[in-house]
Amino acid sequence: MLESSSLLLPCVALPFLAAVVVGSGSGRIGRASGWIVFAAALASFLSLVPAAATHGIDRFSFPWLPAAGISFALRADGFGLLLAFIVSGIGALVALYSTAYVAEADPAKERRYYAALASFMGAMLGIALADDLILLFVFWEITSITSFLLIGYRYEDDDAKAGALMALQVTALGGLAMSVGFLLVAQVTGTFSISAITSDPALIAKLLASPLCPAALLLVLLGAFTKSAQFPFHFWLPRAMVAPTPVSAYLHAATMVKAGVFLLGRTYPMFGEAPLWAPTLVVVGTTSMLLGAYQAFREIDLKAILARTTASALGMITLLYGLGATTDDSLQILNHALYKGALFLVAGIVEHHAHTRRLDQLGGLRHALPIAFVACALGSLSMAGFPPLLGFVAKDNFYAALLHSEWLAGTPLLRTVVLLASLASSALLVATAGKLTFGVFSGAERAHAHGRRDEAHADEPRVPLWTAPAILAGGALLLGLASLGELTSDLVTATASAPEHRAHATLLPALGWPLFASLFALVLGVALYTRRDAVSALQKRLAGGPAASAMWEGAMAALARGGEAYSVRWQNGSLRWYLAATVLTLPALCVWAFSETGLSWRQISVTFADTPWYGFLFCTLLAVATIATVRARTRLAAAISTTTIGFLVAMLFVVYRSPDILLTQLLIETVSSIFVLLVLVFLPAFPARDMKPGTQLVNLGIAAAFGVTITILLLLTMTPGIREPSNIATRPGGLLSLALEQGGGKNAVNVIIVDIRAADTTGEITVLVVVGLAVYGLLRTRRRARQQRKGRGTRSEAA
Amino acid sequence: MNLDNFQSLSYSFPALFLGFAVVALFMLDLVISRKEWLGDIALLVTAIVVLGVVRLLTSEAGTLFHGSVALDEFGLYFQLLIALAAFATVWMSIGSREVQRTNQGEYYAIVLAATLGMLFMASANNLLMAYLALEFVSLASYVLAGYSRHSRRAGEASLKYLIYGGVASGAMIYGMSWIYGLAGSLEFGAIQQALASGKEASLPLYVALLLTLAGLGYKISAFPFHMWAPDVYQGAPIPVTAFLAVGSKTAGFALMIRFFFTAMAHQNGGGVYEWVGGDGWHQLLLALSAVTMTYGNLAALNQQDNLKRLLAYSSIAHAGYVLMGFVVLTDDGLRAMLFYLTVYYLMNLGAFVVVMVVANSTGREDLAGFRGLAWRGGALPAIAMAIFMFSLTGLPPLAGFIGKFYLFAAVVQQGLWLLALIGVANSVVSLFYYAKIVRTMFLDQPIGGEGAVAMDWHNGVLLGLLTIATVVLGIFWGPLFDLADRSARFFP
Repeated sequence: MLESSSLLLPCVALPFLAAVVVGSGSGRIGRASGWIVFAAALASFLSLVPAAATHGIDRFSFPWLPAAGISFALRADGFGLLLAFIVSGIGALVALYSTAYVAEADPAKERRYYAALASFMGAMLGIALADDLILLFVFWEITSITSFLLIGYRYEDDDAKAGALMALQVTALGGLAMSVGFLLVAQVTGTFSISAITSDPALIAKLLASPLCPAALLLVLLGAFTKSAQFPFHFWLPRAMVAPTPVSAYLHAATMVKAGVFLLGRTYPMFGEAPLWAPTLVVVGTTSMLLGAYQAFREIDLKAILARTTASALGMITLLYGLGATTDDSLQILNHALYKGALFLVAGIVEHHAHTRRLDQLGGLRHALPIAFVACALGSLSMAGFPPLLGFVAKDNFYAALLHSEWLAGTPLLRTVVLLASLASSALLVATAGKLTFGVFSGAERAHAHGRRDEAHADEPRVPLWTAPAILAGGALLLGLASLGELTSDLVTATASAPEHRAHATLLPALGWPLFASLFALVLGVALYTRRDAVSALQKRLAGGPAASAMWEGAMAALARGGEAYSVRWQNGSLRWYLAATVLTLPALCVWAFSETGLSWRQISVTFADTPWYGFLFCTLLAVATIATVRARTRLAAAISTTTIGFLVAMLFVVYRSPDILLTQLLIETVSSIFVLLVLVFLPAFPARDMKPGTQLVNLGIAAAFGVTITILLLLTMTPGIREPSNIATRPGGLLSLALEQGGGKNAVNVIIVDIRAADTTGEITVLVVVGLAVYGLLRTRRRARQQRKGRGTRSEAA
Repeated sequence: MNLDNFQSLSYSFPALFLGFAVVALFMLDLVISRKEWLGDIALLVTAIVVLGVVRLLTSEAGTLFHGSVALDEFGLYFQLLIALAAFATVWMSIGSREVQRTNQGEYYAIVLAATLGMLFMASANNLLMAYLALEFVSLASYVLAGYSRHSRRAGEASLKYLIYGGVASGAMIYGMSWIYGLAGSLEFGAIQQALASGKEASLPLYVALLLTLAGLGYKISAFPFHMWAPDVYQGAPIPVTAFLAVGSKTAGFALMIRFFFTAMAHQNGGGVYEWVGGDGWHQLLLALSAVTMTYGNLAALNQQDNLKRLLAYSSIAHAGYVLMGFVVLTDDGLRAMLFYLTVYYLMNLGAFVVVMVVANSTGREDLAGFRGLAWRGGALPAIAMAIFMFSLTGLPPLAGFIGKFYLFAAVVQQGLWLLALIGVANSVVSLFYYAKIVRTMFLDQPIGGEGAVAMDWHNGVLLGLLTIATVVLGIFWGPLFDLADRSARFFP
């Protein structure tokens, strides 16, 4: 099964190993835990190099559960390698950054942080390299859980708890839906292997033709949309910004949210031709893109801005997948990972320095944080799409894909809307980028920052802090410049999810509509930035309406309230209510049985001609005794009428001429009534409670519903032609025939009791003896109790 | 092989030994002065029973006692599960403060008696045997539920359980008598043959089955026969609650599965069963499954006062999940149920152990008593609880996920993907309250007055075993699945 001496398994396993070492390590590991995770990430990164260098596709596989066709299969194609390199590379940088950023008084807390970070990294690498749907899902959910721990790292903070829980809820919801989608896919195609499905046109055709296809597609998309914070699940991402900044940079810019669009790329070969694919993705992607950019401009918190722009950028990638632009999807993913990672890490440095992330309290930090300033400027320029950064190349390719899309060309109205939305969001991102960089770094240093100045300068940004953003921003610049040559194009082509032809990624695009569009967006963006106050004022006026996160929380609260009301109303502790619910369910189900069998009470035709008169008498008395039991006011009366019921039931066997049962029943009734009467002595007085007439009526109704239904059923059953009960006694092999054949006696009842059912009879006698013993015991106890009472009485009299 | 009464005895070692032990324990209680030994003796007894069942695993399938008890892979699988549940319950009881305060001799004897009944529920092959076993378990459970003699809540729980159980089993025996009347036999196999030859979709059969379902549904706490569960779970001592949630429910499923699969359905070849006498059952059970899980999860959402009550609702929901495997009526569904019930045993029992550890130290069973558990001495229980909660939700790479995977796969295979969707939606809802517990343990700060939690080695060992099993089975579940696969067949 091992196809090569592959390093893929160690690549995925190393971070998990590091997590175990760091998490279970004693105090001796202490501050070194960050460096251990850094080393693991670096090792993972390097272990990917051979896979990237080979010409074929490196794989690793062993059967995990052969019976279900699930295997632990890793496969390093270009697209997977891209994400894996991003995950391990940025992971190493983030671990490095964290060694300076996360300094806790409690080393145990720090260790937990690194353990969660490392497990997250391992799971992300797993997602990147998994070639099995179930394996992919497993890693997917591990990222949900570890991100819950990472977001909730500052658990002293209520917002952190709420944000972590919301992220977990939303992403786990999507993940579980996705797993069912995968199951459906496997159901149709008969395999869980991703490469097996995507490489076989027949399987894909089968999947697309299947009636399960739309359901599977929508479920998988639900997973992608929730993970990538796409509309209408975009709200959890800003709330997750309570995480430590390196976590935000890593999870919410570079990697985890990428998993969603990565899934789109992975499943495009399966579902790309499905009729639902393009419209769903184009609409969701465009909405997320525009909404994210709009909201980003409105925010004043640095990280909130970045979170919104992330949702916007991911929306753009979703839109591209909708249009089937899989030739250069890697360009967009790489570009976003580089600039957004850099921007987040800069935000962390700024917060560390100035102790605030609010734009209205920041400014003039270019002197204090020169390297951060440069990194931020480069990142912003790339986000805005200025040449010569990679962002410009990416934006140009985006417009090219949009304008050359055949699918969009077929729907002119949608095409116009998408184009306008794209221009608007590009422009808004340009303006936001300007706001970000100039707001933080230019102008005069604000008073608020001054207040903390002494403290802030005490921890001048250390080397690990600025290395990471510098490398990322530098990467965006270098790759942009490299696109003057062929290097970037080569890279993009090699790592695209489904490269149909060579990708063009160049700083010098041909003159044409795509270039005009991206230049127009730049100009529009600059114009928006110069009029930013007017735009903000307009946004403020337009504000209002329900926020999605509030709606989600409202829905959750409503669900909880509903559940509570439901449980309080149903599970209110009243036994009467429980029994009523149950007793009423049975007739309701019986009515269902009526309809299932197509019978109704009208078909009843039963004659009682051969029933003797005393049969009717016993039944009437039975009814009277039952009513008497229910209406009894003392325990004694209740006990006596219950006993009467028992005896009357026994008498019914006179009607059916079964003296043996009659005898047994009478004996049992006698002993048990003595038993009941003896026990009564130990019980307190009967609480005399008068029920309200209304309650009594309800009780009567419930009883009547049950009684009437069962009566109708019985009568129907007895109606000839509905179903003949088999005559148990006389059929061949039945007891009656056995009595003569094997017992040799004509008094069948006697033979049955003492011969055929001898063991039963012995058992019955034993039961009677045991009950008799119990009665005897009770009688003795009672006598002793009376004597004691008497003794106590005399003593007290003597006193 | 069909054995008569005397031949059967050698194949009934676990039950015979257990019966003997029940009586012996009552007697020992009178003469032993160191009552804490009684728990150890009971533990030894359950261990021997486990071994006894394991020894039977290799024996040839057949019936015992003139066909009234089945000796087959299916029954033995469940017997093993029940014996293990009893073992864990006795282990828990030894480490429980609540139990230590009571009359231990009777307590352990009654736990063993309930186990005896459950063993027979798992292998009853005859309506009479089924009813007797079920009643035997119920009677023992009524006593156990009210075992904290001086607690009003326990008394209330016991009484409600008794009356509710009485009604349910009354309905059941009535239904069984109808079945007897229709089929002319008490034996499952014979009933199936009689019904298969009769007219289809007969009203009496429907009604008889509905009434029987009341008794079975009550044992597995399926909607709408679940109403006793929250009150009883809350009132009973924690080990008893765990036993009811795991042992009793498992035994109920064993009986229900065997009854419906062997008496009410016949194998159609290709691992698919088919109802005898109408297929309206399909819709009813489907609805039952969907409503049961939805009800359980919704009701659990806002439970904060008592974690036992929360786990009661969650166990109702899990009964709904297991029923998904029932609805499809295939071999796939059957083995998914076997697998899931085992996994459920591990994770649910584990959750109860954690609740008990906290209650032992603090006397609290509410959610607030779990605040910051991880930071006040209970780091290990908190981690274990988190694993159980995520496993109950069905998140990978834990055993609960594998269990749900097989259930969903079985459902999807039969094209019931709507039910699978309902199942997934329910898993999502359940995540809310399970995650809330995890959040409370890890992210909430302990406030003053919430004392430190200490776990002794005794409870620690059990918790450790359950946790490890939950994790390991999430990664390496092959052997268990093979066992479930092998056990998913009945005699004949």
